[in-house]
Amino acid sequence: MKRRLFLQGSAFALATFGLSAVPGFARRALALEAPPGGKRRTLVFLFLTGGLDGLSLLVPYGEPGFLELRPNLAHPLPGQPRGKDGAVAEPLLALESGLGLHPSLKDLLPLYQDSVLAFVHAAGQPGGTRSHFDAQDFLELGTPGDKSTPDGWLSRALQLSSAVGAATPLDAVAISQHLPRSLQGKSKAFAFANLNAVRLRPLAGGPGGDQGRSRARDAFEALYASSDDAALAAPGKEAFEALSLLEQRLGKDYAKPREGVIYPNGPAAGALRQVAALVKAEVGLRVAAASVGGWDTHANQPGELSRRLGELGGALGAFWSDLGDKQDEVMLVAVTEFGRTVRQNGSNGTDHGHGSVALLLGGAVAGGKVYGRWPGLRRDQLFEGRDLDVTTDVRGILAKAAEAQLGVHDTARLFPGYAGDKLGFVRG
Amino acid sequence: MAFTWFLERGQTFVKMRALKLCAVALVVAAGCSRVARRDSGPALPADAPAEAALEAARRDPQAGAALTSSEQIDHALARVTFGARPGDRERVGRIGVAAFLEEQLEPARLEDHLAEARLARYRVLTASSSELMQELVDKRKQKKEDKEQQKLALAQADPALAAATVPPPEKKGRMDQGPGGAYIGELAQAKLLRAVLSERQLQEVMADFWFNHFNVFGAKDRIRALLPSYERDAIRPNALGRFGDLLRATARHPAMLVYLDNWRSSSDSPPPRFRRAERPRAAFRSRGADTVDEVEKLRRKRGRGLNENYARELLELHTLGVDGGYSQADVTEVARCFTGWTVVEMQDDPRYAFRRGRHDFGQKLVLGHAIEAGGGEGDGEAVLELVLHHPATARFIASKLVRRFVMDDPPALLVERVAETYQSSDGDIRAMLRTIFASPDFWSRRALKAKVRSPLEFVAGAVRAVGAGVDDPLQLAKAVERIGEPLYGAAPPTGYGDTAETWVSPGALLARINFGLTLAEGKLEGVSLDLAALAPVAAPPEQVLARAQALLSASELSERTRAYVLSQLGEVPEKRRQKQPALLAMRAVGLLLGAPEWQRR
Repeated sequence: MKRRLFLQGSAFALATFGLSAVPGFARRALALEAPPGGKRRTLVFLFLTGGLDGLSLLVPYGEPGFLELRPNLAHPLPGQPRGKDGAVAEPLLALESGLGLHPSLKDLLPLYQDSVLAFVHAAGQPGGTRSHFDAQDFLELGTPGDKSTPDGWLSRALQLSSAVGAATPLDAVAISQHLPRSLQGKSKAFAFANLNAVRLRPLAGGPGGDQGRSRARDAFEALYASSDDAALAAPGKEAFEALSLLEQRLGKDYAKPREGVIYPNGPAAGALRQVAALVKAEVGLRVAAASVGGWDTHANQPGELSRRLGELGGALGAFWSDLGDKQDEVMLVAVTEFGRTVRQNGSNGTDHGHGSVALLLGGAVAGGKVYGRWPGLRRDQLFEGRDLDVTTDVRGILAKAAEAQLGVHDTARLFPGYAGDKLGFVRG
Repeated sequence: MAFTWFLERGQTFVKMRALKLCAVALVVAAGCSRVARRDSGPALPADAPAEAALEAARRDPQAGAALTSSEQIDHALARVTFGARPGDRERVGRIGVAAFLEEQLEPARLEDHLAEARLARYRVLTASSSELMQELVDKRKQKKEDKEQQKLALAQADPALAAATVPPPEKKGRMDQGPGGAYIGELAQAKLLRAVLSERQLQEVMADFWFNHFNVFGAKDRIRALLPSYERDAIRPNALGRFGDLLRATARHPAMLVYLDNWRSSSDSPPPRFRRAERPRAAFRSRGADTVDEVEKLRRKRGRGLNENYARELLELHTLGVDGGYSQADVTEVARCFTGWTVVEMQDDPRYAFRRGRHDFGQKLVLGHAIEAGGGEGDGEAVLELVLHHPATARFIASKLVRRFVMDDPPALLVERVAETYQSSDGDIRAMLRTIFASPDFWSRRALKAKVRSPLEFVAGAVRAVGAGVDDPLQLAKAVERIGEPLYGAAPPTGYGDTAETWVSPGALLARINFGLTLAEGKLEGVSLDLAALAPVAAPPEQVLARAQALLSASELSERTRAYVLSQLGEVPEKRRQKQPALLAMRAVGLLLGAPEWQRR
């Protein structure tokens, strides 16, 4: 506490001598100070876009009649021998009675057994839209049925966060070219597709490489710091602080994983290794958002889905190992905009449906459990006669995650119009 | 001769329109007492800018001295173009600021051969919606056949392998999905070329402005095939015309009807002839529906039911504004009025049509005005005229224009005056712009450099400023995307924000700086640039900087910035300079383009 005050004081005093006199370490140390009374916690929002088939991720094989509705999509039941050939050969992994995990997610089984991973079945959004575009917007805004909400749910979460601690230039990041709707709003957030590309080009006629980049940063940092134009000087300051933070903290290969950790190739791994790098580098990350597409399996679902789930499972497993002693600080929530039809379609796939599965990973997650109330798959139990119904509103899941990681208690402001409960999946 | 004929035809057209307008106005009780002025107002007098600048300084002495004539030139260029090119300032000085503004207000009189020739390669600019849509259908069919062929071939060679083969991963980003992505790519490149090359700069500024106001996003291929026509046929011809024509054209365009779901909207109650016979209910029963609830669900599944999406955005975003004094009940009633406004033959020849079977023929009450039962297609038309003549629309449109041309926080009195022009000129966009261009607020020192450049304005402006040649605008389009606003990429119906805070973020600033450095070094693919003339070998850094400043109209650099850039120029080793004389100029231009000063216009 005392050290914190000292640093604030000294930075202030030094600032009067002009920017060049402020040692970079003082500014950075100020930004990185841990909040009093605890570690900084990170919430990772992983959006699986395209409509993930929850009924394939967590297969309710015990449900009478279910397997008959999907003859070409079914895996052998847990413990049964492999199928003859093709992509649907591996048997399901036993999770709970009547419920099997997709065999491509075998990397998740140890996490489930360690009780840091949980699932929520029949999770989703209210309202019946089956448009990707609408459903994605609704989810990112956190207001199903209303696209006019000005800010995204994560932006509101950051604004409502009671987790104290100095704001850092890398408070909130999106692993994407543009800020996703979930992070658009009054809070500041930094979007980049590739951490290695968050750097300046060296100036013409000067040295190249890291030295050149660092000189370019100094040059523009000085130009922005001496500007009277507050609207530009402030974000400029943040940008150059982020750059120096990354230079300082991450070293040459920004997203290098921990020794022995191997991420698979793919979009989920690409995003998560960067999130892990930022967490490990202690840059003050509170919120990270990433989206991974390709779940829109209208045709040839078995092969397509096995490949993508394999990558997702591998990425999550690697992410978790990569975090190492930071596991307690991180919670990841993976959701999709809607599930898929119970019955297979004419091209070995499934069409847009309703309820799906949400995935929770984190030190604070009371895992090893499948949450949610099972709505059943009898015709009269289905949503609009064809889809898995939604019994857990994703907002109840996200609200709990925001509370646990960011100290957001005001659910009514986080999710306007949501009167439901928070899902109690957090330890303690 | 042809000219007179055109005039006459124009007059007849105007008269007919006036009659029709009055008729509609009577229906909606808006009244015809105020005879709308039919021209776009008198041209700006030559001395108007200078006088307005003096008046601004008199009214608001704290803002500082009146704009000098050279500042007036810079300001005019900064506001009605995407940025001044080398030589533009001299030309405006020669013909006068008022004459320049008038020229830009009448784009049809400006020759634009260069831009037109360069645009010829973009097929979507001339292709019809039906061509593009059919092409999509064909491509999809082809893709499917290819896949099956491939599978068949594999199966013959090795059956096990064929079963395990999965299609290659497709990029599923919102923009890259499907063959329609190429249409958007062409539109984006054409927009950039126009912004950089066209002489009709104000026309291009306004086309961009109105597209954003009536934003349509191509989330799906279906809309992407409709977007070229939307921009070409609904937006561009009216960009400097009448607001009402824009509104009517967008309301009926298939792109808008699909984007905001109105084409699926239909009466919540089945048409009367069905109700008597209870036919739908019986039909649904045979499909296994027993309860009223299920009948309702099945009915929705068959695509019936009211969709309020367009109605809401029409009021909130297109006309009245969010504080325009309408209620949820108004939204629903407006949605009822537009039932039946749909798109037919989507796959072959997509076009607007009114379908009686979908329309709600009941009586509606919109913003306190009754629209009688039994109307039909005219219900929607009546709503459009009603909102067009609503004072909230005048204010909303006026405030958006003033925000674009003057400052983020639009001066209230000017908004009122522009709103009055809207009402007295029947929503004439030229007339509203003239009101702005003649106002002291526009020529106030507070307005000078008050706007941050949007990503498109920044990229196009930089290319124009340094006089670069553009062979291929693809890299420029990508830069606009990296800086934060992919062209045709605003997903929500609001379009992109129109104030600085939406454009200025840490990540976006880094992208701006990198773009400036890359452009100045001549390392941008498809863009050619030679800065050697700026920096003769023996020129001292002061001279190079002065020339770079002049090139970028960055005369107002703070002393600190100037001194700092100079010190940076001094760091280029003499040896390297001897070898590559342009280095100094590259460094100067790169630093200036990324500096805070140049982010504003």
